[in-house]
Formats: sequence, structure tokens, C-alpha cells
Amino acid sequence: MYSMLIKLELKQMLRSRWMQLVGILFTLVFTAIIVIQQMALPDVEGFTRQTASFLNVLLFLLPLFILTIGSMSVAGDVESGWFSLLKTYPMTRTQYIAGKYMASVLAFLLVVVVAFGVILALGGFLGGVRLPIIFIILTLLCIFIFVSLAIAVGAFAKTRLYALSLSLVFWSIFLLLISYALMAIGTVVAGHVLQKLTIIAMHINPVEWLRFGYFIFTDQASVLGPAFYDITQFYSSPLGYAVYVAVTLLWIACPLAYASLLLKKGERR
Amino acid sequence: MKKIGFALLFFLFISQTVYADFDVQHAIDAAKPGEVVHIPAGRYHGNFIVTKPIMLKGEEGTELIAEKNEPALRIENTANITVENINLSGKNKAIVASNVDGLELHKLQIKDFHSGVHIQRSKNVRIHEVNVTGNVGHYSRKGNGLAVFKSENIIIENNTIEQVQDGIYVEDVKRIVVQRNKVTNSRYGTHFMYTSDAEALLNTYHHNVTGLMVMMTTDIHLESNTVENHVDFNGYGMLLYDVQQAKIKHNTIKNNRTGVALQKSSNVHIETNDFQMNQTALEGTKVSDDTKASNNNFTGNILTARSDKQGFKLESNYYDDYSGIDLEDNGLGDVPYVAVSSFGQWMVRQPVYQYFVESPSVILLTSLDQQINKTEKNMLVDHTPRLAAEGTKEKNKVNVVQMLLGLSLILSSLWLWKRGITE
Repeated sequence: MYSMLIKLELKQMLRSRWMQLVGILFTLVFTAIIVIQQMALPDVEGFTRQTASFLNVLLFLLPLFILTIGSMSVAGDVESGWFSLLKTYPMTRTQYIAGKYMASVLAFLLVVVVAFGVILALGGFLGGVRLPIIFIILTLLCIFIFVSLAIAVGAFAKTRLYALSLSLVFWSIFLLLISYALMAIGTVVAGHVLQKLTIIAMHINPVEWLRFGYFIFTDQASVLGPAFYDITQFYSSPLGYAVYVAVTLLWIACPLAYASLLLKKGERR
Repeated sequence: MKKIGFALLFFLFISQTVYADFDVQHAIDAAKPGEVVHIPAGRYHGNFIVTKPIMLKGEEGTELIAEKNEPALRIENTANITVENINLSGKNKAIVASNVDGLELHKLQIKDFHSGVHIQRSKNVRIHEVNVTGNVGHYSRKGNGLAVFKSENIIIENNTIEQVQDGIYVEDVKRIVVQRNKVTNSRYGTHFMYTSDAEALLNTYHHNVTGLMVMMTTDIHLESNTVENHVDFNGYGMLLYDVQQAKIKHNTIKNNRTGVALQKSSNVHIETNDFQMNQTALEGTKVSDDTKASNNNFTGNILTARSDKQGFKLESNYYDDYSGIDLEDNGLGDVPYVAVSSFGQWMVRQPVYQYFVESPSVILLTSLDQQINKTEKNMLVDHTPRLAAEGTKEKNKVNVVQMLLGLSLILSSLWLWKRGITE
């Protein structure tokens, strides 16, 4: 029953016109930026405008697509009564969430693999493009975390439209508003206060968490500046790596647990 | 036959010490001014002193080993000295030269020392083809590779230095040329202090904390150097502090945290350099109005220029992120290039902001900023931006493996997608 649910969910996701358009859009934007920069810029290791573009396209687009499609999928199930129907089958709530999670992860993995394939093919034609392994790992983490968040948002929203708007709100908070708020606060507080607030924001914002992980695991923490020397030194140690993994797992597990709680409450009602 | 082989091996083994009986200090003392003292191959322990105009010439395998904390070779109060083809090792300093008029150090190998060569109160000095390799460890526990104090007419060329504090340290020197040297994995590649009439030409600096550090110096010329991969927390390609009259020309400044930083300096001309892939290409704080960056190429830098309120002049540079057009067809854009960005200015004032560099929020902010800042008339504005960079980019060759891997990924994922839909 569980594997059937995954197959069914995956099929629905891949059939969705929205998902197909997202796949095409993601591939086009990603490829255009990478290939144009590959042609225009010299090949240099380290944090360059090219790697920054890679990272930003990933952090801008992937969370947006995952949050909207993922949350609407769950909210649509509740709204259409599909979730109520599924409950008549011998399937637990946890199985439903896990199945949804697996199906969404697989669908977005396919989108990303297509995009990477096009980049490699075109990049290869133009002399070879850098696609570091850490970048691929970060993409996977991005999918794992944001699918989890999308399911929580979908479970909270109940209707597709509400899920869509809520996803956009979360996306803009994670991508833009927290950073802008910090920058604004920085104009009135001392540097060391801003530094501490930024460290807190880094842990409570999955986008910043992934971005920070990129700098740590590519050994380019110096990009963040001397003010963050201590924290980057910590996260560059074996204990720091373990903490990074633990926090990442929390970012995956907590939204799923919250989604389960929300659906349980809904069942009672 | 076997015995002869063993005998040959024995002689080969002891050949390094076969001349160890040779008394270097005695030979130096016995030599008349102008004579050449040939030091045979071998390892000579001691602290040797030269006080007369002679030439010390070693051969392959000649090594002077310093005893205690004294220098291996001390040259004092004399003129016209040449030291050539010798290896030096020990603890503190390899060579110390004081009050020497006419000194040539050539083909020396220096290792295991705290400091390599230390020259003071001397003139007409030439150091060339010297290799200095410092010990592994933090810069604070190391000395300099080649250091010159209170001297004049110095040439330092074709040397290779690694793992030291400052590769070439120059303090209170008049007329010095530092050229064709290579300094890596050190704190500063070359460090000028209180110096005047200095030139650094055709040097290569990479993977140091800072490539060229110039402080309290007047009249310096930095040309055709390659300065790359200085990406440490305080890394700079070139840092000029309190410098008057400097020319920075034809350098390649690539992949540094900050390419060139000017602090409290005046009359600095930055011309025809290639700034490539730096996090910040050009930074200026408290620089005077006569400081100008002209005819440079800025390619792939995250931030082209940032400054405090005083700013500096930008003129006829090429910027790869310039989006203007050239209706007059004179090779110059019709709309000014505005390098000023709010975020860049914030970073100068509050370094913690650096955390957000090239983050999604800053990218969006910078895009909006570029529209607003088009009204900026004075600060960090280039009114005549060039539309084409000098030099051509090498044509890429096809990477077949990567291309095939990409194609197979596309085909397999599309097949999986189709299968997911139909099954």
C-alpha cells in the first residue's frame, strides 16, 4: 500500500503541467546563467561570481518551486477529500506523510538531474563546466529540507490557494525579509550584536543554513568575513560537521512532525 | 668486482664530508682582497665572518651550517663581496650583512632558518637566484625570507621564497628594484615600509595572506606582477597604506578577497591592470582626489569598487557588468558606469555585513540599487567606460566526456520521467 502511494503520488506530480513547466524553466534559467558565465569568465577556483550565480539560482528557484508545488499537493489532497479517502485504506498518517515526502523528493530530483544533465552537456561542448560535488550535495539537502517544509505548509493551509500564498510568504521571508531585517537592524546596533543576530538567523533560516554550509564545506568561509571567524572555525571541525548534520536533520524532521500533528488535529475535527 | 662496487659506494657515501677538513674561516682570513675563496663540497659547521672584499664560491654540495643562534655567515664593514653557489642551514639567520658597499648573493639555497638574509645599512646590493624555504608553522613564529633595512641601491631578482613571514621585507630603503621573484605560502609576498623610489616588477605572488603590502612609502611603481589566490580572512592582492605617489600598472590581480586596497593614500594611479574574479576588485578608504583607476579590465569580480564617502576616480575602464550602449561608435559607453553600490559602502563601514555578500537578498538589492544609483554623478562613477576588454579569450575545446555524461543524464532522467507517468 505504501509503495503504491509513493508511485501514485510520483505519477501525479510528474503528470502535473506545473511540474513540467517548472522543470523546463529551472533547466533553462540554470543553463543560461551557467553557460553564459562559462563563456564570459576565466576559469578560477574559489568563490567567484560564477559560483555565486550557481548558488543563488539554486537558492532562489528551487525553494520557490518546491514550496509552492509541494504545499499545494498536500493542501489539494485535504481540500479535494483525497486525504479522507486515503484514510479509509489501511494506511497510517505517518505513511501518508512519508509517501508524500518520498514522491516529492523523487520528482524534484528528476527535475534537478535533467537540469544538471543539460548543464554538463552544454558545458562540455563549451570546454567543460565546474559542477562541484558539494554543490550537488547542497542541492539534495535543499530538496530534502524544503519538501519537508512544503508538506508542513500544505498541512497547515488546507486549501490550495492558501497554500500557494503561504508558500510565497515563507519563501520571501527565508530568501529576503530576514536578511533585510538584519541589514536594517545593523544600522542601529553595534557590529558584535549584528554578528550574533546573524548567527542566530543562520540557524533558523534554511536558506542561510544551506548557504553557510556551502562556504563551510568548500573551505571558503573567509568569504563571510573576519567577524565570523570563530563560528566558521567551529563548523569546520569534526564536531561542527556533526552539529551541521544534526541541525539539517532537525530541519527535515521537525516540519514533518508538525505536519503529522496538524493532520491529526484535522482528523479529530 | 663486488669489492670495487662496495668501495665506490663507500666513497660516494663519504664524498659529502670528504672536504670537511677544509677550514673555511682560515681560508677567508688568509685570502687577499679581491681573491676568490673556493669552498669545496662538504658540510661546514660554524659561524663564519667576512670583513674584506673577497668572493666566496661554493660548488655543488657546499653547505654552511650555523652553530647556536648566530648567523651562518656574517659580512661586516667591507665592500665588493660576492657569495655564490652555497647551501645554508641552521637556526636563526642564514646571512647577516652590515655596512657593506657592493654585495652580491647568487645561487644560494637557504632552509631550516628562522630568517634567510638580513641586510642593514648597506648599499649597491644584488640578491639573485636565491631560494629560501621556511619551516612549517604559523607566520608569527617565522622570520622573513630576504630582509633589507636602512640601505640604498638594492636589486632583488629571480628569487624563490616560500613558507616565511614576509617573503621580501624592505624597510627604510632608498632605490630598490624587486623583480621576477616568486613568493608563496607566506604572510606578505613583499612588504615595503618607509621606503622611497621602489619598484616591484614581474613578480608572482600567490597563496599568501597578502601579495604586496606597501606601508608609509613614497614613489613606488608596481608593474606586471601576478597576484592571485589571496583569499584568507584578511587577504589582499595589494594593500597600500599611507602611500604617496604610486603607479600600479599591467598587473594581473586574480581571485583575491580584495584585489587592491588603498588606505589613507594619495596620488595613486592604477592603470591597465586585469582584475579578475576577485571578491572585491578595488577598495579605497581615505584616499585623496588625485587617485585614479583608468584603462583597467574588471572581469567577474563580485564587487567592482567600494569606498568611503571620499571615493576615487574611475576612468575608461572595461566592466563586464556594464550594460550601456555606444551610439557614437567611439568604443566608449554613452551612459556612465556607476560602481557605487549601497551594499559595498555598508561593507566598508560595518564589516559584519560581509556575511551577506552575493546572498540572494543582496543580489536583488544590488539590481534595484543599480537603477537608483544611475543618478549618482561623482562617487565611483566612470563617465567613459570602455566597451571592449583588451586581449582575447582563448577558445574552449569540447569536453567530450562531460558532454556525453550530460547527454546520458538527460536521456535517462527523461526516460524515468516518462516511465513515472505511464506506469
